[in-house]
Amino acid sequence: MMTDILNMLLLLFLIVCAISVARIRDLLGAVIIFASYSLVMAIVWQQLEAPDIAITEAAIGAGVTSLLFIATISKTRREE
Amino acid sequence: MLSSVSRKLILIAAMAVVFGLFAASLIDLASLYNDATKDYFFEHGFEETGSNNLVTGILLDYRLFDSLFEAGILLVAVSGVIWVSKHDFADKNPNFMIDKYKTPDLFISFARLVYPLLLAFGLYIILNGHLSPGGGFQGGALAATAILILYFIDKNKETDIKRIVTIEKVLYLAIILVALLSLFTRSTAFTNFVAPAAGRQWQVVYLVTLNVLIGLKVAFGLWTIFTAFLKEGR
Repeated sequence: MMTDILNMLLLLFLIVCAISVARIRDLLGAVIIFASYSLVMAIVWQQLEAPDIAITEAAIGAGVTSLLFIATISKTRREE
Repeated sequence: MLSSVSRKLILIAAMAVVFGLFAASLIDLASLYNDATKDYFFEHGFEETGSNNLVTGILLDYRLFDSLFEAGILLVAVSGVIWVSKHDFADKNPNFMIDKYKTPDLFISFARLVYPLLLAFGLYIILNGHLSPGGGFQGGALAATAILILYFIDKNKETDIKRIVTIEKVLYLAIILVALLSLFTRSTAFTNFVAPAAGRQWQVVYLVTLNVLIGLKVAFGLWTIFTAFLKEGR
């Protein structure tokens, strides 16, 4: 029962993140929201009993892509 | 030329056919998605692969052929990134910097703290791929992230990209050779070269070897992508 409520909250957070990452104008903020999306997605994978995918999601989604996006922003512009 | 109305009608008819085929395929779903494979893996997987982590057992034994091409896709992606960025191989010293927005001191301090922990955790995941969740790819990605953090700490870090690419190709060849070893010992390609009869402690040798090779290959491949990416657009 408690885990159901937790899962619902996590999925709600994912939807809010997905909508706000498309609407926000500040690109650095968008990268940070995207990283938090990946982090929560990793928890959801763990809830679905797929720890291997959870580790991959945390390493690739929250780590590699965020750092590459930050590097891209530093080489171009911060505003959309 | 067709009129726009008839074009839309053709589109609707085509979509109806596609959805009809999709609906027709749902009828046979029960026979398509049965539990035969799952039951087989649960019954025989632990003995045949010698791995405590069944996912690693499937990746490195039953589905090794798929895993090889998965590693090959990364090799092709690295070649594509290098071809797109087209920088000179002789060019050293990627001048990675945040020009307008300097890297915050807080980020650098935390990066120095996180770097050794992340590298150690990546190596831990690679070496324990047969015992705990994770494996070569996950551990390699973590180690590559640690190396990427190093670029944020040290702005004057030099990388000889040609040497990294060469090491990655050699590692990929080594993975294929280790996968083909079973052709000589067990006369079937792409499986564990130690027979299950030899015992789990010897089967683990193969699993750890292949996990370490795949982990190093993934780490070097992602490292190459970072370096090519950071040099680009200087």
